[in-house]
Amino acid sequence: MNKTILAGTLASCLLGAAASASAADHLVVYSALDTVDAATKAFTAKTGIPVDLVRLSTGELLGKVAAEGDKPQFDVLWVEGSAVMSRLAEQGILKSEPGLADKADYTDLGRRLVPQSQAYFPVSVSTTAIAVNTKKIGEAAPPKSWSDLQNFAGKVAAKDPNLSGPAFQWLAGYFADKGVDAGKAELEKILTNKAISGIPSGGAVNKALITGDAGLAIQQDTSIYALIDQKEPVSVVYPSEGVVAIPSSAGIAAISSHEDQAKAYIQFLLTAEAEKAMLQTEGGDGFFAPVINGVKGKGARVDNTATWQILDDKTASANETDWKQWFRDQFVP
Amino acid sequence: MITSLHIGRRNWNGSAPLLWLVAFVLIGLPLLLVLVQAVLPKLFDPVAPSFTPSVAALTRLVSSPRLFRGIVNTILLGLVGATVSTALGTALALVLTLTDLRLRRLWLSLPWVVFATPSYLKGLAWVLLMSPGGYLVYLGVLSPDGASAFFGPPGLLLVMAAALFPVPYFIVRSRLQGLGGEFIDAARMASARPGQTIRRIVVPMLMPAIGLSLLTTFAEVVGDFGMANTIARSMNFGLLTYNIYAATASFPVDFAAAGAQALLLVLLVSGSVAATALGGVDRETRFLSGRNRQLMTYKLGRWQLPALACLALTALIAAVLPLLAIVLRAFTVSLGDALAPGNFSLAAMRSVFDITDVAGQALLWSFVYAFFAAVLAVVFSTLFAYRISLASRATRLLSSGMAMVTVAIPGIILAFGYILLYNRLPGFRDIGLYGSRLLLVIGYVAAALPYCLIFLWAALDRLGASLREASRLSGAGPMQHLRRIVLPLIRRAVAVAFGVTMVRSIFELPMSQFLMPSAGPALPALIVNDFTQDRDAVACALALVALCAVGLVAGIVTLLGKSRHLTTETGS
Repeated sequence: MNKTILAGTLASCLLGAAASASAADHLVVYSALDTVDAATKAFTAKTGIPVDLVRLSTGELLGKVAAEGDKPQFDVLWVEGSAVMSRLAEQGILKSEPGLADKADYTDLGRRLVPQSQAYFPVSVSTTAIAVNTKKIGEAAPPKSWSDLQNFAGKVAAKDPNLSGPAFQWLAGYFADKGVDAGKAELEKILTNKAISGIPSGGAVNKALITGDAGLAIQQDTSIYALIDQKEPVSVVYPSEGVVAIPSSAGIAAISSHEDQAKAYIQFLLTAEAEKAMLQTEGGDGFFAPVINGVKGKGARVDNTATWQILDDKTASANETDWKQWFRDQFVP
Repeated sequence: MITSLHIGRRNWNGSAPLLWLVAFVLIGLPLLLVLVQAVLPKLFDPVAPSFTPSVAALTRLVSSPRLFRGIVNTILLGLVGATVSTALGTALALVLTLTDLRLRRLWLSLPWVVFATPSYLKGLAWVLLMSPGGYLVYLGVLSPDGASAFFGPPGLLLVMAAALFPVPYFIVRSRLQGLGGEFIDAARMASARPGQTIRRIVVPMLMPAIGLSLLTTFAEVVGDFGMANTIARSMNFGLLTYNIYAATASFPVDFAAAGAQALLLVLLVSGSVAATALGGVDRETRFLSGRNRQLMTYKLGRWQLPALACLALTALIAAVLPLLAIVLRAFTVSLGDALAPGNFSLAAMRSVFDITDVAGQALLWSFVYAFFAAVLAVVFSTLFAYRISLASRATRLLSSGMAMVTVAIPGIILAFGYILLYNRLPGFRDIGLYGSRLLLVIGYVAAALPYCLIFLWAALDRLGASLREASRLSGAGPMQHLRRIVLPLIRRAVAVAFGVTMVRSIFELPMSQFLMPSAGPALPALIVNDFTQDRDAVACALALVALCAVGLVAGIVTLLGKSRHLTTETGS
């Protein structure tokens, strides 16, 4: 028995040593998007550059990035929500790369989404709209605006902006459009059911919409198109007040030791070839709106990106903690 | 003679500085790095780190109605949940050990099946089952209003009790198996009825194990995140662990709030450990002397059928229904169409078995990680638990208290501590472990260690001092005593600890997420990512395949164990 234990322990140590050694010196990409798999496979197939992917949901990924602080272990970070990327750029965690996207054939919206700092670059875009479960609302007229949601108070599901970059982008855009105080007052009249008003993930919002107590949801449009594609009884409404673009953006770590490969990776993401590969992704993220000319979004997506507004990242970033705290205290049980 | 005894005593004092140091590096130091941020919030600030102290995060625990409500909810749920699940686990252990209940082998596997299913899966399964548009409403078993009514504190308590009874069951049964039959035989000879014997002889002898179970389950309930994030969240029932998660998963991360709430959890659990110690539940009760008789079983007679019905109901609630929900979701396309004939599909299962997919790799590697984590955790905890069992009562109490505290700390806190330790702390970050497979295995070992220690202490606690004295007087050293006497007597507990660590590690979520090796994700990170990205059919398919694989491995190990046992018997 003693020998067995000793052998087991030794084998464990050997595995550990071997495993440590096998963690090769590859380009490391952190991402919260499903589309990263298809894009990365296409990149490696084209360039031969191996990539190690760390894929987590936005909340966990940003938690990991925050814990790593000024010693980030990623070479490329690719997440949704420009306010988050703006803050990381201000903290010096992301590096400014002027001219990196000069060759990208951006759409008009794509070009407008490139920040002045050029520390991160939009790869795809989506927005937040209203998901309506047509079975559940029955004969009632569907909402046309954010304000109309007051008629469905208690039946509206929403994500917690504290745990979701896209949800914070929506909240910041909502306040930019309505004004902070008026926006807060209106949301307090809409999100009256705490069980469905500060949900941690998009998947959980969809569950509340399909099988739970919600009849409508403030939801990312990629997720809504995925539900429509799954033949769920759901329709999408873009509110008349207008919507704010949620870019998924990629940036390079200031201390990256693979800067050239990281640049090559981002430049590849900004090609029609990469966007087409990303469109093959199953699930919500694959229903993005392309930011490169000549590529068309899939499924039931309508091309209305020309009317989408751009968030003032500086204002959003400056108020991020306060707004998130307010939302949590108001709508999270 | 006097000299040899003196020398012997020096070796038997239970001191183990090296093992304590390893335990500190594995668990203490990472936890400390997070907890200290409750009062030093800028310690790891990426822009301007500083040692400026602040108690703002601590005062907010009381001043914020939301946080305060979460604390009160957690304590109430912990107290009631621990009592109910310990009662259930103890009753099951008594029935399965002391009676002639039919289909015993089937019921023996029930706690393992429940234990193997991670809480985040169980939580999701109950949401799928009980939602107003869920499976039970679809099948007409419940009305939508009835389903909505389930989402309240009684529903949460039912789900918690059904999910957490295996741990008290393991602890109590381990103790029960070591009681020896002579006490019960003596009671029988004194014409005591079965009920009297259990009430007046068995239960009092089980009190240390019941106390340990109450503490462990209390720690489990207050530290559970899977339920807090799924079913409790759907019930509008805020809990401490969800609030800790919310503090750590938002950006920028609120380490101070997470540290303050984790500190409160530590105080809660250490307070209950101290209260238990003062109440005398941990008193010395050692029964295994080396001359024990086998436990005799009672005949249930006319109670056989009611007992079977109770067990069947427990199995239905704790295992059958949740697993059924996962199976159904794995084989259906749309959530809304539930069990409509056209909704069934193999698409999700196909993606799991696609060898080019990361899912297959994650499944394979998770078993490898879990195996090595189990070997390391069991070897270390056997040595550590044994050395502690030789130490003074105060040391034993302190160690068990620390193990309990670690059980209560949500894995997410320990995982964050690991990032801070191996990526930020000078000295440790230079080792280069961060991002490696080895660090994930070490993380799994750290997460499983308190459980291993608790199981092993429960077994060691029933070994009489006479065994140790006999070894010592025969001139054996403590390691010889461990190898030749103790290990054969606690082999079942060692096997349980190994199995528990394997299963826990395969489904251990926070470590898998935060210490994800750059070479590829482990299974739990992939499953939860699929859930959050609304691919719950694929997530359920992946979880189902993993559960089946765990069952298959367990079956093979059991068969091998049996064939080895038969060979030994034939040989002898």
